[in-house]
Amino acid sequence: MTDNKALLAKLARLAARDEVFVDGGRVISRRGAPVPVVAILMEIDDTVLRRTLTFRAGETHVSAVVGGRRLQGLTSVSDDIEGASAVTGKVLDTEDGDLLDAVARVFAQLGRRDPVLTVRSGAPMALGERADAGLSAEALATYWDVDLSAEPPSPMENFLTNCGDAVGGSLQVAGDGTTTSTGDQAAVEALVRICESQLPNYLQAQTKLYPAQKNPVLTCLDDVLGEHGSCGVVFTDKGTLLFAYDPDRRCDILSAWNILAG
Amino acid sequence: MASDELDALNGKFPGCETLAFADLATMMVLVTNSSNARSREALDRLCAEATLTLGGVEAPAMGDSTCNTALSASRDRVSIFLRAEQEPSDVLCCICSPEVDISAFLAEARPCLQKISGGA
Repeated sequence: MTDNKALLAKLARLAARDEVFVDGGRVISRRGAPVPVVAILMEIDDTVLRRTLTFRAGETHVSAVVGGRRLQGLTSVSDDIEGASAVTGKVLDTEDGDLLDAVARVFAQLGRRDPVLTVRSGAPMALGERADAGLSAEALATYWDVDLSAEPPSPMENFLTNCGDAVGGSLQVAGDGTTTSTGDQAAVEALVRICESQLPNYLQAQTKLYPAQKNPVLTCLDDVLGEHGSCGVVFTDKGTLLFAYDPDRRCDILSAWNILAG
Repeated sequence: MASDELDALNGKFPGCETLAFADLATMMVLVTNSSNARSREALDRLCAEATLTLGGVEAPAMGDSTCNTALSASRDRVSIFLRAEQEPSDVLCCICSPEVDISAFLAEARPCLQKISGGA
């Protein structure tokens, strides 16, 4: 990390560090803040002496040999991560783009498993001979196109990111009425029609039904958008998110929801 | 009997604490699983939520096509609503913990609803 913005972000993070532990692991990301892959890269950047860092999200875990602010490689990945065998025990190399992409996919899966991501530091395991093996956090961030100093995304943005391509289009309505849309334009237009003609009555009826409801609520209505699939709505005190989703990917939506609400 | 069908479904998915067969035309819960501990008021509210989310066959709550499967999730529970294929006012209302495997549950719940709606 050499640029001032990144350095200032790091200093602010260190100054504000209020460490919380869960099951012996230090919490580095909660409900997507900071973005899990950013949290992982920050831990790599903070690790000077050679250690094994075990990142855990629920039952899912990834162990990595880290030292000299570099990720040298992954030594252990839980079975529920797709593509684990392709990355385990291999030393990272700038020449091996496939391996770097595969490691990125492993971390991305890990970040979607649970609202809380923790890290534990342990004795280093053997992985390669050279002390300068692997890639620095900064190099990985560049390769993976991750902005380490970026402001954490809003919970809604996190939710959409975690939904991935299960969501075809979205329309976010902030408390002040401003709207932001993403994805397929035809799906967005269908969501706009719902927002203008049906949502107010729905919201009113729901508030009447559960007047004491203060926490966010996700509603999924399968197949109501015809060719655009299904309609989901997230209600929070900061606004409303409407999205079109593939009903066959309902479980992905719920996994993303559990991270947002958990 | 309908309650036996609901109890059998409950046995397969203990995380679904409440299973209620309801009639949207009268907005009444007709039968629940035996271990349901919810009050009549809570069940009435659940039925009202089913009416709100599933909407009418010709007038869905949102969008313009009929909704036969809906769910509503908060931090600590997931409510699932299914509409019977042949009798659109027959619905199954379920309250589950967030850990329940929704896909597996739906695969079992749909035939259960069809049986009850068909007069099991």
